[in-house]
This record gives sequence, C-alpha cells and structure tokens, in this order.
Amino acid sequence: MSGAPPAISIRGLGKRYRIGSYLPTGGTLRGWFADRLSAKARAASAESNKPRYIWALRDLTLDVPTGSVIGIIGRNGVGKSTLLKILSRITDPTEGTAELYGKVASLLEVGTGFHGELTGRENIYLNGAISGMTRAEVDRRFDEIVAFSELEQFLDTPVKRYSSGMYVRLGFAVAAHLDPDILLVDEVLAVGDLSFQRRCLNRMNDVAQTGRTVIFVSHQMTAIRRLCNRTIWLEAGRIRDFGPTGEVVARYESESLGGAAPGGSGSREGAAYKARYLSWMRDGAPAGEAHVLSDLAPVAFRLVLDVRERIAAGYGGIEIFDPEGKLIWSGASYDGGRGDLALDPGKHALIYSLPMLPLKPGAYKLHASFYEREGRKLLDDWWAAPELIVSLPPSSHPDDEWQGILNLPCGLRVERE
Amino acid sequence: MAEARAQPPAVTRIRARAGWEALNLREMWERRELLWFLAWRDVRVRYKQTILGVGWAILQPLMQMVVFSIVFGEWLKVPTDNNIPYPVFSSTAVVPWALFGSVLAATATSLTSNAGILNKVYFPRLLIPLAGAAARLVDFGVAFAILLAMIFVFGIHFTPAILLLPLFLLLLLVTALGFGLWLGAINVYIRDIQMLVPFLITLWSYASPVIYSAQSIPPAWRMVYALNPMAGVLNGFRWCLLGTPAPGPEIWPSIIVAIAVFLTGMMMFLRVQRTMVDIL
Ligand SMILES: Nc1ncnc2c1ncn2[C@@H]1O[C@H](COP(=O)(O)OP(=O)(O)OP(=O)(O)O)[C@@H](O)[C@H]1O
Ligand SMILES: [Mg+2]
Repeated sequence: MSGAPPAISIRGLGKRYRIGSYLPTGGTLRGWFADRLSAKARAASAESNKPRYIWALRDLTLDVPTGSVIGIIGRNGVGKSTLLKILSRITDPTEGTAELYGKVASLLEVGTGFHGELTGRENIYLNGAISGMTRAEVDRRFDEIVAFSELEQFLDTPVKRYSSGMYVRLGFAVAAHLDPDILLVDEVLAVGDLSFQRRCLNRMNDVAQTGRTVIFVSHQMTAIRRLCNRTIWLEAGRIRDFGPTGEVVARYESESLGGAAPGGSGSREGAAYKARYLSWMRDGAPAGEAHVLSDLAPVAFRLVLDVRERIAAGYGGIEIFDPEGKLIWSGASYDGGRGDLALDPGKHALIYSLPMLPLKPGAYKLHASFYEREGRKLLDDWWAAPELIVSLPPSSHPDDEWQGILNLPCGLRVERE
Repeated sequence: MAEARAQPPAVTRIRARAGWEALNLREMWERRELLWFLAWRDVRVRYKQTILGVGWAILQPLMQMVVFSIVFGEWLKVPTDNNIPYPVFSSTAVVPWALFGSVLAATATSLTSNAGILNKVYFPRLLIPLAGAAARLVDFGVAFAILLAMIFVFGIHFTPAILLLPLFLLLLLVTALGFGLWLGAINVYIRDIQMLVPFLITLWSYASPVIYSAQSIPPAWRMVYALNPMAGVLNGFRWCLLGTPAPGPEIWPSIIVAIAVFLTGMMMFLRVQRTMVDIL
C-alpha cells in the first residue's frame, strides 16, 4: 500500500485562528467611534482585543497513498474539520503546503446550498452544481440519485417540508454520486436512520473499493473501524497517533474512557519486595505487536515476575477487563489441578495460554496478582501496562456489530433432513 | 470517465496564497454552469410564493416613474434635454439606476448572506457576487422591455447610437460590481456596511442624473461631476435611447474611475476571500 503514489501529500500544514474579535473595536463602527472619542474606551478595547491566537492545526506532515481510506479521530476542537476545510480549499492554511492529485470532492455538510423554497428536484441540480457536478452529469445520474434517496414521491415538494432525515438522504444521495478521485467527508452521518446510515457507509465502502482515496472524520468508532485502513488520532492540532485503525482506535478509546495512563512498564523495580510483575507481552507475537491481538489464533500472555526471595508455594491470577471495566475472563496458575508454584529468586515468565480470544475490538485491561500460599499473602497486584489492544476485524452481523459480547465468524451448512 | 482517469491527475496545490494568485479564470470558466445555477436560485427563490412574481421587477421602477413624472415633470417642471417628455426622460435613467442599486446591494451583501455555502464547499468565490449580479439582470430585462415600449409610445425614434447601449450597460455593471466588491469585502469584517448600503444608494441617486438632466450642472463642475461613473452611464443611456447630445470628454473620468474601482475592488475581494470563512 505504501508503494502506491500519494493522492495527498501534506507538508508542515498549519492553521492559526484569531479568537475574539477580528478587528480592533469589536468590528462595529460604534466601537470604532467610541475608541476615537474616549481614552477610557480605547484602553478597555485595547485590553479586550489583544490578538489572541490559537493554532487549530500545526506541523502536519502526511502522505496518503492513492486508494487508501484514512480515518481521522480526536476530541472536539482538535482540528479535524479545520484540516478538511484546508484540504478542500475552503480556507487557506497559515503555513505549509498540501498537494492533492485528482478531482477532489468534499462533504463537510449534507445538502450544502439546499434552499427550503426549492423542490427536491431543483435542489438536486443546485447542490450537484455547487459540489462540482456539471448539469450533464446530474442529468445522467439523476435517476440513480433519486433511487438512492428513496424520495421519489417527494421530488416536487419544497425541501422545507422534508423531515430532517429526508433532507439528509437527499443531500447524501447527491454526494454519493459525485465520483471524485479524492473524497473528504466530515462528520455527516450522525442524523439519518440506522438503515440509511448503513447504506451510506456501504456506499463509501464502495467508493473506497474502486481505488478512490477517502478521508473520513467521525466520532463514530464503528464507522471508522468499518471503513478505514489507517487512522489518524489528532490532538491539539497535531498527530498524536497514526497507524492501523484497530490499534489507534483502541488506544483512543482506552484513553477517552479514562483508562490507565499509557506508557511502558515503568519503574516497578524500585522498593523492597518479595515478588513483583515487571512487564507483559503476547508470547510469540510478531515485532511491534507485542500488546496487540489481531487474529483468532491461540494466544498466550507472557507475564514477567521478578522474585527476590525464594517462594516455596505460591500462585498467580490473571483477569481481563473489557473497555467498560467489566470482567470478562479470569484464570489462575493452579487451574486444572496444576497445583502451586515453587519459584527460586530471579526473573520468571508465567505464560498463560488460551485457545483463542474472540473479543470485539477495543482496549482491554489485564490485571495480574501473585500470592504466597502460606497465609494467602498478596505479594503483588498489578494493573498491567500497556493495555491489550484487540484489533480483530468485527465479524458479527453488521446490524448488531456493537451489541453482543463475542466476536466470532460463524460458519453455515445446510443439510437435507 | 475511464479515459479521464488515465490522464495524469489534476493537481491542486494548497498554501497561503497572495492576492492575485487567487484569481483563477480557467477554473471560473470550468464552473460557469454554477454561475447560472446560483443566479437561477436567486431569481427563483425571490419570486416563489409572491403573487406578482416577476411583476415586482417592474412595479418598483414603474411607481418611481409615475411619482417622478408627476412631482418633477408636472409640478416642478424639471427641464429635459431636447424637450423630451419628462416621463420617458426620467424612466430612461430610473430603469438602469434600479439595476445599479440592486447589483450594488446584492454584491455588497453576497458574501455574508451566502456564508453557509462558502463555509462548507469550495468553488471560485467570485461566482457568488457575479451570480447575484446576473440574477438582477432578469429584473432589468423585464423593466427594460417596458421602457422600450414606453419610448415607442412617446414616438421617439431610435438612432444608431442604440448599438452602443451594451457598452454603457457594461460600464454600469463594472461600476456596480467594483463598488459592490469593495463594500462586500469590508462587510465581511464590519457588518455596519450592510446597514449603510441602502442609504448610500439613495444619496448617490441624487448625485446622479436620474431625475434631472446632467445639462443642469454648471459647466465648471461638469468634470468633477463626471467622476461619478453613474453620470457617464446615465448620460450614455439617454444618448443611446433618446438621442440626447452625445457624452463629451466627461465620459473619460467616468470610465477611468469605474475601471479603477473595479480593479481595486477585485483585488480587495481576492485578498479577503482566502480566509474570509474564518470570520463569516
Ligand atoms: N473560524 C474560526 N475562528 C476561530 N477559531 C476557530 C474557527 N474555526 C475553528 N476554530 C477553532 O479551531 C479549533 C479546531 O476546530 P475544528 O472545527 O477543526 O475542530 P474539530 O476537530 O472539527 O472538532 P469537532 O469534533 O467538534 O467537530 C477549535 O479550537 C475551534 O475553536
Ligand atoms: Mg468538526
């Protein structure tokens, strides 16, 4: 994929906004006159109008290969829409450059330019023209657009009589037939009923399948996971994380759900202790995926336990919690009649293995403990860091993707009885 | 479509632009259909749900003509050139003036009133004021047809000068757009402008030969008076349609001012358009 020529190449892009009033004196003549006439007003307005700037976007450098679908996630106000506005040329950047190769269409709002007094039919033409279609193109695709919107009966009704969902349908139907090389989509599907949302996602998926490049901003992680190969996590105008969607989204979710502070297994080796967990990883995981689970194969968790004094009889426990903090599985070293462990001083790896872990994508917390048999004394109790990132592709029925607990593909055979 | 993809793709380069760079005539030409659609939307929306529809386009100048004819023609006996009957003399200016006023007002407020679109999608920004102006031409067309009928009814014969009328119409549009772009660009930052515009248009009409003849201006002041491009435009209209004396050298200040305002207005607009949505 990285071999594909870039569709978008961004170098050091930045956008600075001035907040507060743009002009001295608050942008009205009254303020201007007040300033001329009174020293007090002048001093007050000088204070309140000190230029204050914020960088909505800063130092963004990025290459988007042709044919990739990139998700952009991040909290409110981190610059996602700003980036799309710059890429779609609605506003100039303050610094840096971007180059886009091919025909660009943006969908920052559904039904831009719709006018309530005009009929559905008229608005299709108007919105098409505003979004970059020629009249001939709209003519050619008119029937498809109408079919997609499912609003045949309402074509000659003024759009102001539409429900908000119908409005969105019509707008998206036009946008879905734009046929660009690069499509920029901001959070637009939030309205509209579920079945329509699903059709929109499918449609965007189709667009992506045909080798177009898509940049998709959304707060709906379901949609991001469904559509995007790679995802950018923006924070305060900069790229916080960029990588395969499953992992980035999981890390983002874990942090927004108030998860443990990220970071490696820090300095747990300090004070005096008898036994303590130091780190964990997936046993036999490929490089760079030590804390990531991306397939349904057997899994093993390798917990490194540092023992300072000999333990004649001890046992360990391990638990997995889902992103909402619900316990989903726990095991212990003595399960299955294995009995207690005798450990000499030194570092040991406890390897818990499972036949598979069919979890929905997300960030899961591991918790490990270690006890001495005598007096059931707790020697260590550790919320493992980093978290376990599950980035399996969702395989439930799309309608119920985020319902349910297990993430398992199902087989089917039909036999004659 | 397939062949189109095979060609090397069009490249869009994005960076902080300087003023004139933002003028992309080729792109405007490619999007000319949008100009039409935006103008069509303006016209359509304006008259939808009104009973008179396009009738409103003529009602306003018509009422002006009647009142002016009675007050200035009958009662005050304002002199006209070549003894042309006052109603047709003033109407020949009232009709283009109505076009001027509406294009100026539409251009001055076009950016703020289309903020919703400008904020969400890119197209050559200049199309917005141009479409506003184009939409007013529809009204003008209707009113102009009535004017021609009126001239005919009053038994005035057209002269070959009528062939030059498009030039004066162009001068009118250049003037209206030039001032409109200036005001529109400032209005993005200072909304007081849009309050000022109607008042400005009324005042300006007194400084232009609408209800009176430019011949009434003392000769010493004619050149100064001609700095008002609308003086040149209205004299031109009267010359082309009514055969009044041809505009002399006073036409040049009008043309020069109009072009200067148009070019600087354009420059202002191009400067402002780069980041105006940040404020809109
Ligand atoms: N026109 C503007 N003038 C001043 N500040 C602005 C302007 N537009 C955006 N900002 C600021 O820039 C920052 C980024 O805004 P942006 O709209 O890109 O956020 P976002 O990531 O799209 O947020 P959301 O998830 O809420 O849509 C915000 O702090 C916002 O207040
Ligand atoms: Mg946004």
